[in-house]
Parts: sequence; structure tokens; C-alpha cells
Amino acid sequence: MSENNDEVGSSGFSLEDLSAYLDRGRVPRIAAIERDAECQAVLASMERMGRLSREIVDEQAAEPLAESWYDDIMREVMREFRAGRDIPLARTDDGTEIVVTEGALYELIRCVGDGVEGVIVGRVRLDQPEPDAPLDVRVSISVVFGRRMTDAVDEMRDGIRTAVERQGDLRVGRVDVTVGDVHLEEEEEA
Amino acid sequence: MTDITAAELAPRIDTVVTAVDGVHQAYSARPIVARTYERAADVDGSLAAVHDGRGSRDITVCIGVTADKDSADVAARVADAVRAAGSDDSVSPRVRVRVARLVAPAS
Repeated sequence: MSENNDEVGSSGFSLEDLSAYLDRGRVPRIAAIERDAECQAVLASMERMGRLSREIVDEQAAEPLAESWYDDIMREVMREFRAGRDIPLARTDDGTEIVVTEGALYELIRCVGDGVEGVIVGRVRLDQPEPDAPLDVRVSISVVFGRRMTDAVDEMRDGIRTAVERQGDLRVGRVDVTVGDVHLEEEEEA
Repeated sequence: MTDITAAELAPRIDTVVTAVDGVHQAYSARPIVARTYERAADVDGSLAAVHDGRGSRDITVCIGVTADKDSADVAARVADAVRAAGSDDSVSPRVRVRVARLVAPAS
């Protein structure tokens, strides 16, 4: 196990540990990783980013996406998927406490981006100025060259609002989507 | 006074939680010290955290939910299942459900 302080949550494992575990095909099974929500979220994101990097980065020049885009996004993912605070999700009559972690909401927003054609999600920020206030969301994205940006942004914004507001009592305030990059599709490079 | 020990109840809870529709996976809700010990000893302890106090019992479970579901609804059903798992106990527990992941539905 790595001893650096690049630890995923309180799992005791670093990003490098998880990357190596994934490269080994998750064999032999490490229970402490398989049973840890934050490790699982990071692994899922690594798998997604691995697919994307194979589809995009290996097939094209580094521009217009920065050469280090994979590392940059994984650093963001690491930061986001640290569970963060617990946000009340619903009130029940029997006293059950139901909460959702900030990390789960970050993962949800990234899921929305995965479902929008031609979009790669970069940075996600959540802000709740007051307890019980609506959540404000800021997202930066890269849009594939040729896709109308306003359509991609609208689809992201609507998707985020719908996905988050489906969750219990959560409400969304502002959703700011910024296009910070443009990337090319594999076939356009060939 | 509880009739079922925490150690007996926790595995029961693990079983019922993952059977609830919409639960993608259950994760460890146990304190970091317990998880650190399990990692060092390479043992699979229970996922649910069951803590007994004076005349009370606190149960925490940690779940991932498929993102196309209302996780609050899924969590409420998980809480019902947790209570049912210990229904032969004389103590009514306080239940906490923590949604730690919202996962894309399988395509």
C-alpha cells in the first residue's frame, strides 16, 4: 500500500494503488477496496476515463486538449469523490436519517455528462450557501468539435437539474456550465 | 436490552440491504478503526455498523443507488428492510442510511 498522502478518502489507498489494482484486473481481490464507496467511485471513473483516453488521446495529437488532461481530470475526480459532508436527503416520520454524500452528487453530475453526446466533464463544483438552500452547481466541460455548444450546455444544465432533483428533497438553484475546451473525435483525426 | 447481538445482526442487515431494488451495492459503514483493522488483517467484516449504547441501538448502512432512481425512496426502503431484519429484537433501533454513490444504470 502506498504511504503517500494522496489517499482516497480514508481508505488507505492512493490513486496509484487503485490504478495498479485496475491494471491487474482487480485480481487478487482486495476487500478493503471493493467495500469502500470512495474507492469504487474512483475506480469507476478511472474505467470511464480509460475508455475515453483510448478513444481520444491515443488516436490524436494532444491539441486541443491539454496533454495532461487525464491527470487533471483524475485529480478533480479524486478531490470530488472524497465523500465530503453529508447532505440531508429526506425526512421520515420514523426518525430514520437519510443522507447523501457530496461525493455521490459529484458522481451523479459526471454521469449526466457521460450521457450527453460529445461532452467530457472537467471540473464540478457544488455550493450550498445555507443548510436547506438549493444547491448551486458549476461545471466546466469540453465539447466535441462541430457540436453546437449551446445545445450541449442546455442538455447538461437540464440533465443536472433533473438528475439532482429526482433525489429526495434536493433542489437545484443555479447551474452554470462553462465550455472550457474543444476536442476532436477519433475519426476526424484519421 | 437487546436480544440479538450487534455481531449477529450486522450480517443479517448486509443480506437484506443488497436485496432492495435500486441498491447498486452496499459499502462499509463501519468506523475507520474497524476498517483499518480489517484491511491489516485481511478479513471481511460486516458492512453495516451496529452500535449498542445504553438501552439503544444505532445502525448505519452505506449504499450506492442506481442514478435513475430516487435515492431517498430507495434509502427509505432500505431502512424498512433494516428494521425488519431486527424485528425479533425488543429494541427499536435508530437507523441511518448514507447514500455514498449515485451510479449510472447499466446500459
